[in-house]
Amino acid sequence: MTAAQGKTKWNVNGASIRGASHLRSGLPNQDACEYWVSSEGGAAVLAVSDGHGSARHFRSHLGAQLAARTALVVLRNAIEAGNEFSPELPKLLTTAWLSAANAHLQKNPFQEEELAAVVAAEGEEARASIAANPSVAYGATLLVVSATKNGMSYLQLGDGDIIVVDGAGNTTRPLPEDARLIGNQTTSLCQPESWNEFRARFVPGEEPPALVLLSTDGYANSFRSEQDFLQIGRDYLQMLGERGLEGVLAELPAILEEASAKGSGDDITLGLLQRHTGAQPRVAARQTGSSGQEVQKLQAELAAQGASFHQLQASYAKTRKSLLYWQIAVGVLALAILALAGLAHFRKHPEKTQAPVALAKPAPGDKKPLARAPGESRWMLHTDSGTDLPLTSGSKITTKDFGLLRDDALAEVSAEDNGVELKNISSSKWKITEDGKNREVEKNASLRLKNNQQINFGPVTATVTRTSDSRALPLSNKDGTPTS
Amino acid sequence: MAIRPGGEYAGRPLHFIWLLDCSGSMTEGGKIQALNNAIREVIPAMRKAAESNPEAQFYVRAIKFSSGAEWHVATPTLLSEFKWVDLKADGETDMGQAFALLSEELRTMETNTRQLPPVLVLVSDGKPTDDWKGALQALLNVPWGKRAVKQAIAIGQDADFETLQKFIDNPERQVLRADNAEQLVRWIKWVSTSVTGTPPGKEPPPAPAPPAQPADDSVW
Repeated sequence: MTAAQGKTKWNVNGASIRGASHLRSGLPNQDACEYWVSSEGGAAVLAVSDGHGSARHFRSHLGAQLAARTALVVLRNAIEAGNEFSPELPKLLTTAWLSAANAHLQKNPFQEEELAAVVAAEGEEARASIAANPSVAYGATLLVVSATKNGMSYLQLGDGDIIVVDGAGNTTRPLPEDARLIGNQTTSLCQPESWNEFRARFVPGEEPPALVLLSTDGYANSFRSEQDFLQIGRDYLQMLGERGLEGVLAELPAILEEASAKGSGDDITLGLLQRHTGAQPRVAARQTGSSGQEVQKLQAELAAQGASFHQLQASYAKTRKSLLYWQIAVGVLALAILALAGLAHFRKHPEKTQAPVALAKPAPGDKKPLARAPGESRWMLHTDSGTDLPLTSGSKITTKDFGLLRDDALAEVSAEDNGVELKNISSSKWKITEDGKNREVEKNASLRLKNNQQINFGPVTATVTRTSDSRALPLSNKDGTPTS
Repeated sequence: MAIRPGGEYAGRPLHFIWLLDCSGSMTEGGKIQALNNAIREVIPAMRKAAESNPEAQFYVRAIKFSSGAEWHVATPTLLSEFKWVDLKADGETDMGQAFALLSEELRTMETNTRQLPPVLVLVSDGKPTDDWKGALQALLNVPWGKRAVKQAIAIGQDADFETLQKFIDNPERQVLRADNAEQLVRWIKWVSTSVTGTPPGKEPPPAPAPPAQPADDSVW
C-alpha cells in the first residue's frame, strides 16, 4: 500500500434527471443511482443503472433502482468480507438483481393493461418474450465502482460510461470498449447468464484516481464527440477543486438537464467518487432519489446487517463456496428489506403485499442456536453452505438455519422411518425445486421428502439424508464439503 | 460564467440514405419523374415529423444506381437544408454496386452509442443486373449495415421482391409495393416520416399492409 492510499478518503454522490424526451412522452426517469461511504470515509461504493427504454421493459425504472440498490449491498458486503476483487462479483450482482426483481414481481404480478401496452407497441412477440423471461420487463444496465485501501473495482454490464481522472486531469476509461454496444443495442441484466457480459477490472495497490465518474449513456450521447465528452473529467475535477462537492451538486441537476435538452433527450445520471485527504468527508453521504426517512431506515438496516454479516462471516464462511452463499443470502435479505423500506411506492396494492420468507416476523420464543447438538435424530438436512440440521419430530427450522441473519420460522418437522415431512409455518408460500421442477408449498401445507432427495430453497440447495447411526452427525471436511 | 463541463453538445446523428434505381426501365410510365416528385413532396413532411424529435439530427443522402453506382447527394445534409435535384434514368440495374458503395460508407462511420442506427431505403423497379449477393452479404456484415433500419419499395410488378426482402433482412418488415404514382408517394412518405417521427431508440411502427395484388388503378 502506498502512503497516499493509507490516508485516502472518499466522497461519493450523484444526481439523476428525467430526460427531455421522457418529459415530452410522459415516461418516468428510468435511471437510478445509489452510493455508500464507510463512516471513516476509507471505503466507498457507487452504482448507476439505466433501465431500457422500449415498451417491453415497462418496469425498467424499477429494475434500475433494484440494480443500483442490490449492487450497493453486494459490493459493500464484499468489501466487509475483504473480497472486493472477487471474480464472483458479476454473478453475485446478477443473482441479487434477479432475486430482487422476482421478489417485486411476486408482490406485483403483471397487470393485463401493462401487457396490452407492450403488445400494442411491439407486437405479440414482445409479450411472449416477457412470458418466457419476466425479468425482461425490469431490464437495465449496471455500472459499479468500489474504492478501498486495497484498490479499485470497476464493473459494467451494458452501455454507459466509467471514466477515471488523475490529479492532473488526465481522463481515461478503465474498462475496454464493448464493440457490441452500438446504436441502441446494449447488453442487459435481464439477458440469460448476463454475468458473462460484464466487463470488470480490479486495480489493486496503485495510486487511486482523483475522481471517478459513472454516467448513463444519455450523458455521453449528448456530446458531439468522444473528446467533447471526455472533457468532463478535467472540468468536473476543476469544479470540485473550486466549489467543493456541495457546490457541484447544487449545480448538477441543471447541468444534466441542459445536456439532455441540447443533446440526447435521454435521462442522465452522473455519479461522482472523489478522492480527498480531509479528515472528514465534506458532504455526508446520502442516497439520491430517496426520501430522508427512507434513507435513514435503509442505512440503519444496512449498518445492522453489515455488523452481523461480519460476525457471521468470521464464524462460518470458510470456503469460497460458502462465502458466495453468504453474500447471496445477505444480499437477498437486504433486498427484501429494501423492498419494504424503499420500494413502498412501487406497490400497486400495498395492503395485499406479504413479506417474503426472509422477512417474516420472528416467531416469539423460536430462537435457537444455529448448530444443534447431535441427539436422537435420524434424518438430516445437509445444505450446500455446509450446514447440517438434524430433523427431529416436533423441531422447527428457521431462516437462520439457512444462513440468513434473522431467525424467522420456516418449517416444522415430522420425521418417520420412511420419510420426513416439513410443514410450512412461514408467513408465505415456499418456492422450491423438487426433482428439477419448480413448485410451491402453500402456508401450512407439508412437503414430504425421501432419503437423498434434493430441494432448493431460493439460493440454498439442501439434501435430506437418513443416518444409520442416530448419534452421529454427517461429517464435514474443513472446507465445508461433505465427506463421501 | 455558466458552468458547463465538457465540450460541445449535439443531438444524436441519424443518417437517412436513399438507394434509388435509375435504370432505363425507370423511364417507362413516368416512374422516374414520379420518384422525383415523391421525394420532393415528402421533404416538408419529413421536416415536420422531425420536429417531434428535436434530439435527433437527421442527415440525408442519396445513392443512385444504373450502370454502376454513385452518390447523388454525397454530403450528409441536414434535413432542414436538404434540396432535391432530379434524377435521370438510363442503363442497367447495378444494385450490387450500390450495396458496395454503401458498405464502404457505413464501415467508416464511428461505431458508438451516440449515433442512431442509420435508415436505408431502397427503391427499385427491376432485377439486379450485377452480382448483388456478395455485396449485400458484405453490407449486412458491417455493424451499421446489420443494425440499420432497412426498408424497400418495389415500383411495379417487375421489381425483384425477393432481393428487396433480402435487403430488408427482417421477416417482420415487408417490401412495400407501389403500382402508381399515388402509392409511391404514400410509401415514400410513410417510410420517411415514420422514421423521422419516431423517438430515438424506437423502431418505427409496422407499415400498413401493402397491396398484395396489383390494384385496379395499376399503372406500373
